[in-house]
Amino acid sequence: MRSRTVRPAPPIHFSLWARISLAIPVIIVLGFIYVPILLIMLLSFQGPQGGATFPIRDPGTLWYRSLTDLSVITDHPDYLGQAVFDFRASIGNSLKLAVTTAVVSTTIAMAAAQAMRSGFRGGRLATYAILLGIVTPGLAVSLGLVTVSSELGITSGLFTTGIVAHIVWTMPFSFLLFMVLFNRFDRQLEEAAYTLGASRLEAFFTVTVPVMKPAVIGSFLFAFMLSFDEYAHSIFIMGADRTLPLMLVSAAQLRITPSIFALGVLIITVSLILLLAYVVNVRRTFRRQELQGA
Amino acid sequence: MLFSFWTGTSVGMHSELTTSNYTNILTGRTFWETVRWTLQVLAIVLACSTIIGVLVAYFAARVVAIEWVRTALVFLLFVPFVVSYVIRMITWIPLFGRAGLLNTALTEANILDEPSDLFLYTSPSMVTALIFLYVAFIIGPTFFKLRQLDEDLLRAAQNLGASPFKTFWSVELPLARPGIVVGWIFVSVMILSDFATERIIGGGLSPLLAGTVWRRAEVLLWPQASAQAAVLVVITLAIAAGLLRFAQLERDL
Repeated sequence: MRSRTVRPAPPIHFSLWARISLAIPVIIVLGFIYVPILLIMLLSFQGPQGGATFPIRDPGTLWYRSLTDLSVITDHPDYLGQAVFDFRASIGNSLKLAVTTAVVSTTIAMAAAQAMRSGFRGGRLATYAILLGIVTPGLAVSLGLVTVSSELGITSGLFTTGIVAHIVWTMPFSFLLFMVLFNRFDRQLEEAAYTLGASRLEAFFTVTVPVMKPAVIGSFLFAFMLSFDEYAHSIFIMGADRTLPLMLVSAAQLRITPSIFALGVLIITVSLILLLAYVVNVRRTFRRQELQGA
Repeated sequence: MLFSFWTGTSVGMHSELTTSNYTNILTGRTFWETVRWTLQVLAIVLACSTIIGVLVAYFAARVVAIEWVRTALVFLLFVPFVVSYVIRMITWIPLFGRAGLLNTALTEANILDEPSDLFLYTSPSMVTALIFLYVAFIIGPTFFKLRQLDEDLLRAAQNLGASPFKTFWSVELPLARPGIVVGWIFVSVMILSDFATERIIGGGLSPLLAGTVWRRAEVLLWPQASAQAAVLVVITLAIAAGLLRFAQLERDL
């Protein structure tokens, strides 16, 4: 029996002119993404006197070092007394929140996707309910949370209101990822495990979880990055604990310093490395699964 | 469980209100002007980013012939999905700001007499920023949809003598529509909840709906902010639901 698979479309032969004109929008989009990123990469190596614009004076890694130790700037002989920002506390807060959010949202999403897979009354309604978390404007979620929590006498903070808003935001993405990968999942694997005498729990941990590893890792990474970068779901509700995006926006409104760029470069680089590692890993896993299946 | 908490929050938001906040807002002219302006910006951004996004997705899916080039291109276009718009917005400032590279270059080349404020802190700059901050979310789903299309259909179109443009217009574009609509939903939702772009790049002079909610909440006018936020949520959900129905996603995905 030959299963009908969708093959990639045949190549179309375009004239050189057609190719060039079709490449223009691509170049514009890539330009708008990468030219600014390249610029802040250069500007993040600005010297102590230089600001957020060209030219670069006395290039060095000063602003990177200032992220962990502000005195590098303030004790510098060329320091002009301009505003500098201390991001350390907010980075710590964001990391703590993002890790917790990622763990919780992966756990809940996997449970929810597992439940949806078996199908139950109201399952579709529940799916829509989960996805509402993506569609609802973050500002409204934050506002709702802060009014309710103050009504209930809950102090807003990182691990009270903050984490709830972030899980409402990240969990639907994790859930979608699990749903997509569960669709590829071969039911017979689990059934084979049952036939061989495994209990449901054993089958879940020895068969389902290992096969779903790409989704678990992906959901963790994705939720982590979403939470770490999230701004709209963070305003009003963090109380005294400021997260990094909050800090970045208020700093950017006051004064743009090269330390903001240095931080931006670090975050972009780390995100790209994580993404690349994940893509490579998933491709390898899928290829192995396909080979084993063949 | 989580969701019940979420409904709890929005119900709580309503319970704080008397109808006077709604009547104040719903009859106020400025509020409806903001709504109209927001929808206008949304329409312009959607139109422009659809054209750009579909062209880019088509290029990546069809014109690029070498597999690793395609992979690399898709990876490069994927960056907006993992880097927050807060950071990407900040990256715009050294390029488009008053003392930014573009202004410096234009004044040095004597095209401009003095640095222009047009590139940052204006409505056109905000619209441009919104287009390029979010266009990737149209490119992504459209690209995946285009790559999924059945070879036989395209071959059939070619065999029947359709030009690449004709094939694109009457076969690929209709079939890629669910992808485009998913992109529209993403972009609409993000623009309706975006209030920082308008402030940092738009200069805060022409607030969008989410921005006015934020301003009210910042000065602790919670009830009014909540009433406006409720309108914002209704508009967002209505647009998302309308688009969903338009695409008949359940059938197509």
